[in-house]
Amino acid sequence: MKYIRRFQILLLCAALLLGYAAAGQWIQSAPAKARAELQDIQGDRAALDGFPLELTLEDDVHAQRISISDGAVSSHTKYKSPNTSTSDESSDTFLYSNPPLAVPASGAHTKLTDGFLPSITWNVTPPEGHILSTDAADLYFNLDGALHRTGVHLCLPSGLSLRSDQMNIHIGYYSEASESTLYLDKSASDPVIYDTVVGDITEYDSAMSIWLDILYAAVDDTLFFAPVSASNRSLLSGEISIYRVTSFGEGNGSTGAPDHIHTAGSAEKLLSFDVRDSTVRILCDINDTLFAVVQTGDRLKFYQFDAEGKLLGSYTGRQAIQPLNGDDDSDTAQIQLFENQDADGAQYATCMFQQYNDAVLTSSLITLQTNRALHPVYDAPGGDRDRLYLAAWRDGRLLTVGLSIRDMFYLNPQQSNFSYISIDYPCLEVRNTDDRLLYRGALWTDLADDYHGQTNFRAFQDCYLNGDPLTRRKDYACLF
Amino acid sequence: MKHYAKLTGFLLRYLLRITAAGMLVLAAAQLGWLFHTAPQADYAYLCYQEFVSSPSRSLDLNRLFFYGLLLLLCALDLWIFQAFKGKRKAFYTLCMLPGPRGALPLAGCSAVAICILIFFLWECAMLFAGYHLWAHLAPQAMDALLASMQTTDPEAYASALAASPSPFVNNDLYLSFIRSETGRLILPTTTAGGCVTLVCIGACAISCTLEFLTEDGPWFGLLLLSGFACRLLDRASLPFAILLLVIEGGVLIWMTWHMQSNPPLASRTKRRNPQ
Repeated sequence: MKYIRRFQILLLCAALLLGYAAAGQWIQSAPAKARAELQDIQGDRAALDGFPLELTLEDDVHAQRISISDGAVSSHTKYKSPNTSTSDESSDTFLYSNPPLAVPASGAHTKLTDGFLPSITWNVTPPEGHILSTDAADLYFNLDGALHRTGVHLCLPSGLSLRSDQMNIHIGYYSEASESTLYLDKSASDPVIYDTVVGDITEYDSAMSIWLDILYAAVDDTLFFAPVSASNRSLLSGEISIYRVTSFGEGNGSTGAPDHIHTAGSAEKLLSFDVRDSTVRILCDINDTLFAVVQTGDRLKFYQFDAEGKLLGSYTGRQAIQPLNGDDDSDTAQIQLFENQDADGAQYATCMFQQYNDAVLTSSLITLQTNRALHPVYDAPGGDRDRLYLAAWRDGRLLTVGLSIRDMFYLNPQQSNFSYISIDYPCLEVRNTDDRLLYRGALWTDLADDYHGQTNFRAFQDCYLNGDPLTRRKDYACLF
Repeated sequence: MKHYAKLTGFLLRYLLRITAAGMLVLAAAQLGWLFHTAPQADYAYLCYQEFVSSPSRSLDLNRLFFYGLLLLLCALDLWIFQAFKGKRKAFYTLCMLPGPRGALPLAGCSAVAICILIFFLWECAMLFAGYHLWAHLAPQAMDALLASMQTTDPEAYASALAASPSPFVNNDLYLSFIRSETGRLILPTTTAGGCVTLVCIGACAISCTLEFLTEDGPWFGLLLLSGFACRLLDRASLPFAILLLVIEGGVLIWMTWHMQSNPPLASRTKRRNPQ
């Protein structure tokens, strides 16, 4: 007793130390016990064979790397300090390409136009097949019956921003639709100065300016473009077309055009649509083919051309989409493109088009394959998917990994009623070429389940097929 | 060293009793609250993390712990106040003991720090016990919810039965530590968190010791501040926490030096010849 009294402080401290050591040991090893489970909702899990999947889920404090191969799920969790947002393990085998939107696509411009951005203006009434091209000349446009002259103009491909150290650069223009010839009004020859536009065209004050947006894609040294929208839709003539530039160069050949406007090159029309209900939404290069998405009325139409301009295939989406109002900033749309290569070398590109309009989400998922026509796979019903993280083909089967939503009942004590809460979880689906669902599974993870949605945010950090070949994803923003 | 140990032992003899009382009060409050609310239908879908920390509700285990901590600090402080302030002679006697006087503030800080560490460890145990209690009571809440749905909304009841939702989240206990202020304070997992815990313990210890050493009134303001510091310092950055630690260390060193070189109450009582 005497000894205990003598050493009571030491004993107390030892007990405290032991207690904290045990607690510390427990809390350090707890993340390793985090599990991930694949719940089979529909179909046979054997459909996942051939898709060795790796994905990383992160929330504010943890990064959980999950591997699924041959039906077995394994996971490894790391605790990360609050200020970092990436997991500790380096993802050097991971490809998650999201091209930065502020940089023009490398190579395309220099290849075609010898070092400077191609500049295209589009004149409604000049001779068929001609395009105007200036690089540093004056630009003329018509505003309220008066023709104005302004400085250099450049063609702005969708999603890119202008990079220039020159002030007063603005986007290309247009002229009056009803007149067949341009004319000069000397009284209105003062140049109109605009602000530099970087990316966001809604910064324009439409009362002051006229602009025209052009979508642009380069496929194998061939330039395709299509006008998309303008400050005033009447500036676009009765039709919208997708053009293929057949030759570049300078020269004056267009009758009726003023001398100071250079006409250069020629273009052929590939397809035309009525401007009143059609808009070209996407124009991009996929696997050395031109991929175009055109909204006609409430349907989306998908087209695929080769570099020569030959139509390889087309597909009309089955579901109606909400009309996109160009003036309304609340409408968004995006395309996610997933490229992968099958074991036999076939290149696939799966495109997920999503539109969010007034809390309604519509999605379309179609697949392109080189030398084959567009292959529709899945028209996702609205609201089912917020985001697709992976779409890859193997042996005639398509795997999609996305976030799906499950609604659960919830008693709201303040209002004494029942309402739904939503839990989102990663959902894996495998379909075959007939769009038949072979397998659907849900990935449940300990750390990332949240029942009231708002508190703990979880995000996919990466998601890819392991081994060779690797999958890639690109994001595109839609132009309004 | 021996003098320091004896002083600490002496103080601990009383402070430990107060701490034990505080631990009992905390246990009663937290487990009692859990016992009362966990089986209610309103809380059927909550996982344990949300019992520990939910800012949107009025009460959670987090808040109960901090109230308990404040109570404990007030109790410790009041005891020191009534033991040494009212009767200066008691304090004077301590100072006149054979042994370095500088050991007094050190002993005071150590005693209070040990008490608070015990309190924190007890809270770990309470969270652990609370988890098992909640796990035991949660199915009752689900039954209560389904029963109330059955009477008010039979369709929803049928769907809910079919869906058979489960409120369990594995690793819930671990997450409740990680994601609550209390858990991060009492069981830190990062260096910055560890420093913050040390800072909070130091702040409480120093404010109690100042109470002990000064002639003025109770240092309640400082005490409450240190109690709140435990909450405010959550997620503090590492350099800031180290800075505060250094400041606290400096205050402690100053107190020790002050006691050692300036004997107290020199003007009031005749100073006997110290050893």
